[in-house]
Amino acid sequence: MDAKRSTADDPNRAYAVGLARAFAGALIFAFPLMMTMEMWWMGFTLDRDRLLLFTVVTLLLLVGLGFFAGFREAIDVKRDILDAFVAYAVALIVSAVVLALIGVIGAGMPVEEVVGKIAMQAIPGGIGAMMARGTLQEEDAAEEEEREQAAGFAGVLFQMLAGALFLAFAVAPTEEMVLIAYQMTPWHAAALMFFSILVLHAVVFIAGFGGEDRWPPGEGAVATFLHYTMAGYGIALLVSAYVLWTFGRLAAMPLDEMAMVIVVLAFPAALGAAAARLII
Amino acid sequence: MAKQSRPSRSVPWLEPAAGLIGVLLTLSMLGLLVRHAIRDDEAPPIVTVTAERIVALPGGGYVVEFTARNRARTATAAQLRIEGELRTATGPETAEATLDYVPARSEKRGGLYFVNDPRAGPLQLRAIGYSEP
Repeated sequence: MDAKRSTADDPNRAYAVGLARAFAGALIFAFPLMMTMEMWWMGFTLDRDRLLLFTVVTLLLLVGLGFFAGFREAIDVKRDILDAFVAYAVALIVSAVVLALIGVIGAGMPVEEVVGKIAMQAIPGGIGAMMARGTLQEEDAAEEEEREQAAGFAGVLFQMLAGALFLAFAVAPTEEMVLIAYQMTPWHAAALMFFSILVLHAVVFIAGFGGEDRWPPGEGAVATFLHYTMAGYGIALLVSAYVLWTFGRLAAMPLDEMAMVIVVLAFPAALGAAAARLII
Repeated sequence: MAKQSRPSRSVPWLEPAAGLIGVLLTLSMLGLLVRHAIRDDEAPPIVTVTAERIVALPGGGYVVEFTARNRARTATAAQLRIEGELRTATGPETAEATLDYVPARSEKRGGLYFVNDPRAGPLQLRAIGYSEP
């Protein structure tokens, strides 16, 4: 008899524990950004439509994470949707409390500014709340294998998407991001691309595939590289471009410069995708 | 224990499709980077400043909205200082603005505040300095 069985006996207690995990996850994942001034500025400078779109994308991501990383036997989409909104609500509360505590939001500020700042922070907070269900929850190796088998390749893609989106979002608002892109030469950027792919491939290999130590059933080394690693880096590039566009960093830029900035942000995005494979 | 006992949700066509998209995107980025490297010359940033609009402010004063364009192939101008000089009857009035980054072949916008009406006299806008990022 282990601890998991006893909480299963009392579903309310189990849910309360899960909720506490969600609060912890939201706090841990979001607080570095809560203390980043560019995030505060984004709260009032970011185009509202883009912020709304990003929020919707985040909610869809949260639903997907619940769907693929869930621990339930049956598919229950309604439950996944509910979980996603709960995670987001937790993130909103955590963001509001902490931002108020450190004085970033206050009574005298215009409503749009307060709402914008909270909404910005709720994005990484929501992902954190959802991830906390997976990382802080106990499961043994056999259960993890079963879950990953059930999720399949789409689940892997989703994990990588979540990790990439989170890390890219965490790094993209700061000025250093663009500065790095301006300081680098195209050769630096090409080398960074290869390094990103290399790290992603190494972690994909280490993380394994549903419990297998080597290649997934029915696939060889090249197929694994193409399907998993390159798919992951493709996700990293797309996430990088989307996040940059959201923050307005691609405006009025020629294609060559855009490639530089996208490749630079794709590095943390790829690391995030790799980390997600390890953590979730 | 047979690993295949639990039905998997995997979609067979998704794997090569995802991989292919990833490879195409990567090659595209690589191509753009190579093109960027080939175009690289050592030329400094070449900045032209154009006044776009002059707006009278309620409560007095005016703002001149401008666009700074960097025509260099690859050099970024950082901390770009823009100066506007307006010749008035009582002497020149100057205003200054700083743009954080103007990448190559890009433009950034800003504004300069003036007390006198910039539409009245000759107004000259120019970039007066930059730093390498």
